[in-house]
Amino acid sequence: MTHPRPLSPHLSIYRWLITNTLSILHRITGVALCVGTVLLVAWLVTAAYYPAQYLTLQECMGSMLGRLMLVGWTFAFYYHLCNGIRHLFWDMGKGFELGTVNVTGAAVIIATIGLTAFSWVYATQFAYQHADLMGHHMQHSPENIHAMPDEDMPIDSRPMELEMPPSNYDRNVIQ
Amino acid sequence: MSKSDNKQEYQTKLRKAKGLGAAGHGVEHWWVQRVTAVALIPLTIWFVVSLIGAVMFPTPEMVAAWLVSPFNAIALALFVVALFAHAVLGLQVVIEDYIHCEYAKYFMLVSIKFIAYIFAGACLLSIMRLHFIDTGYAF
Repeated sequence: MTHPRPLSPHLSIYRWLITNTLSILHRITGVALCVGTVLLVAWLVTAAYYPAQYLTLQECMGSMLGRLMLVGWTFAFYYHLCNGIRHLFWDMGKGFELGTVNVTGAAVIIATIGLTAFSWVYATQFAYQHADLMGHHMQHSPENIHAMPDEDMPIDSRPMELEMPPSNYDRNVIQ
Repeated sequence: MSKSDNKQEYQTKLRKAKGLGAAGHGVEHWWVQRVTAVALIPLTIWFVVSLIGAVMFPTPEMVAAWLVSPFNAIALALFVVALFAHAVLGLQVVIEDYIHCEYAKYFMLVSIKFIAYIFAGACLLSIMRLHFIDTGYAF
């Protein structure tokens, strides 16, 4: 067993600038997104083969911790996308000047935060209203399906009525 | 006397036998990483927009209805394949950078490749099933 050689100081001495911070953040978000692929697989497999577990998964994703993780993955995704495009420009040989690097780096951060905020605000506030425009109807999770809207609820907050005909899905489920 | 008779050997025979020197390959990794990255730009944007547009698909019937369209099914399949190819190559670089114990490194490298194939296969099979399952609705 060889003795570990002394290391020159690195993290304790070099200043964190936008360049190296964004670089390590690209790697960290990449690994975080790889962890997120587990969720993608779980989502698809339960949707196809285990409908009861799919609804459980949806409820877990809707919990506070689940939403926090989803926001984190959204941020990681948009960051990795924007910085990845910046990397592709570097691969073409463009944009290595010091001023350009700092400007594009700032643009990546602003774009990431903006896209994450926009996506989540749109998904939570506006997507339901647009569901009718897109021609499909939303179904609530089992606990709060209402057969009839309550008379004393204000009209705007009554849940949308379920209008889907019974599906053949259950006949195809693996027993 | 042809040119090949005087060709200089840059490596000693022992070094050649040990496999030392330049590898002569490896740029495929770089290219596949970039090509999958370029493919993933439109695919992931489409995927995120679809998820947000359908607000995460509350029931499996909605996912199946979404995947009835062959465009959605093929796009999702391509997304999954490009995603896992890109992810495995990226993880490979991270593992090679940080793990130096030979056994741990090779174990991790092989296992991420196996896991990627398993996950991609599971996703593709699920996409096919959701595409062919007849729920009676379509988007």
